[in-house]
Amino acid sequence: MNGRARGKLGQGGWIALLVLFCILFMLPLFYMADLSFRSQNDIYNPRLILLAGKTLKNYVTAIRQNPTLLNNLISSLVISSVSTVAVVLFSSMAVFGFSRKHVYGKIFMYNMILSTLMVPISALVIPITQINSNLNLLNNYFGLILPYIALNIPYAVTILQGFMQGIPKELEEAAIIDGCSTARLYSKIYMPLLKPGIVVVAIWTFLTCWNEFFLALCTMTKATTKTLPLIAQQYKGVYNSQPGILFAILTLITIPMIIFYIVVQKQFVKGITSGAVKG
Amino acid sequence: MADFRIRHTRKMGVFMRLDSKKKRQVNVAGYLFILPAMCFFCFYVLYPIIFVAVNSLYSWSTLKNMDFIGLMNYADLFRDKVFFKTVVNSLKWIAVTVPVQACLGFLLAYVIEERLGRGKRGSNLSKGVFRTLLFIPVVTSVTVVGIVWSKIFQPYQGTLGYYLNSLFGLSSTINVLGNSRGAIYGVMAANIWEWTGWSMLMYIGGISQIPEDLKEAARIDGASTWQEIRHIYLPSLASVHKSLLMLGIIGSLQTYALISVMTKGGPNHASEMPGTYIFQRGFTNVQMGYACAISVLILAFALILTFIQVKFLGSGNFMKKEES
Repeated sequence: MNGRARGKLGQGGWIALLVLFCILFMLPLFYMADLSFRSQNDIYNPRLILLAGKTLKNYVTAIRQNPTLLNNLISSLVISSVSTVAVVLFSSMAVFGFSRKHVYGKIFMYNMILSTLMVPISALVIPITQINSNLNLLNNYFGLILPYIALNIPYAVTILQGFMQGIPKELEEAAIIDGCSTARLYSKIYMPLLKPGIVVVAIWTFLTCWNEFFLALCTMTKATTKTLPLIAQQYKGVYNSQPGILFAILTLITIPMIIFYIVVQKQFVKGITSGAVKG
Repeated sequence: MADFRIRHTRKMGVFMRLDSKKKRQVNVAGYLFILPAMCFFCFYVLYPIIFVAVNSLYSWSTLKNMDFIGLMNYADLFRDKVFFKTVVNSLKWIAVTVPVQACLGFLLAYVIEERLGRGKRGSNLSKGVFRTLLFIPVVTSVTVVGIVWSKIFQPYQGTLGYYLNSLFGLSSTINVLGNSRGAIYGVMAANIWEWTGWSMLMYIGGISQIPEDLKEAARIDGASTWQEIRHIYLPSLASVHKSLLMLGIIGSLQTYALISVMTKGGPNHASEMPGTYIFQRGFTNVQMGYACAISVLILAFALILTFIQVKFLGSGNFMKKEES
């Protein structure tokens, strides 16, 4: 067997492995979708995929009985995107501020932020719920947006600081000699250089906000302001005896995110492969 | 007039000398840039930390009705077997999910980037398809993941039990999530399924940063696949390993939704994690002081882990004097 043939054979093996993994990874989602098209008679059948007896009835019932689904999707979208934009803006500004001269106490401030890097949201749910109820922010988008911004800042600052240290000082000196103001220095010189880091920070923040459940559970009680993770959990109880409808709703919740990811994935992968991953 | 000017300039001179000695300029713009982040941080991170620390010394259900009891909550906490269970479960969670997700993620990234028809036509398309498919679980909402996996693990009607029964003859009544030993691993499986795609994408990013000539050199020297991975890929990806470890630990301490949806911490607290236990004590039993005490210990645990991570693994260094 010559080298080339061996290479080809090897490649077939690798592709088979990949396809196997993809099938394994897709199975739970296919299973979910399959359950959502089953009639009440087939729903308790343990087979993974049933080809016969498909129906759209679950979707019709799900949409007719739950007119707030669109509101919930909008809540999730607004909360996650506003938080993400604010985190990116404030943490990149902070990192830029930390790189300035004559900012006394910045070492203390930075190290304090870094120390809370692993602070879990669950440990702060009680005080944040108290703050929200005092400020009348329960059932308000800002009751989640404000804490999400704060809780994502430590990780964002840590990641962006890694990039900041890689930017040569000469660049700044040259810009200042050319008469560049501090605000322009931030927006025109540093922001573009931080872009690969910002992509990772943005996607990570969006995903954590999109998936956050504990604080949302304590903050949102009104049907229209609830985020998607909450209503999925809620319908689990409501449709306990009609799993078909439950899985139809789960499928409806999942599809927008998959479409969103397919749309942004090129940009995302580009950001990641242009050196976004640093300490 | 002239006299004044001389005196004035002399004064200025003194000030300027003082300036250069003590560097008494203050960069106002610098502070303004830091201000928003610090405001959020102080109000929603620092103040809550102080809040839980202070209020863990009281027995209370609402803020209007508080009894100071000193360290009693902590004394109870150290005798609380369920609390220890949550600590053990968190450690188990870190020890299992972080390495498994990293290994699978690396394997997938390596195969996609390096074994999928190097530089052939059409390989870009297939790369994109594989990357996207394997990342879809990451963008699936966490409660959806929890509900779907509960269904998979369900006894009698669940699909896993059915296939284990028909392929390997195991009992189809096998109840992963209802079993005190299996429950936590069942939830971990769902977590691994959800997050492996993230590890994969981070490794894809890392692999794209390894210089081509390094890989070329290894190939010319006739390195085997394993040698190539062992000596070129794994060391070059150190920053990705660290970053994933950091996110993995954060994720483990945060874990709430999956447990809450799949097992509710049960059976009999076997899969309890800090988050679910805080919720149970604080909001279900309305023992807010006790829940605050749990929060304080979790925060202390998080702080220690951060120090270990930063000091010894060097991800996100503490800022030091010389750098400023």
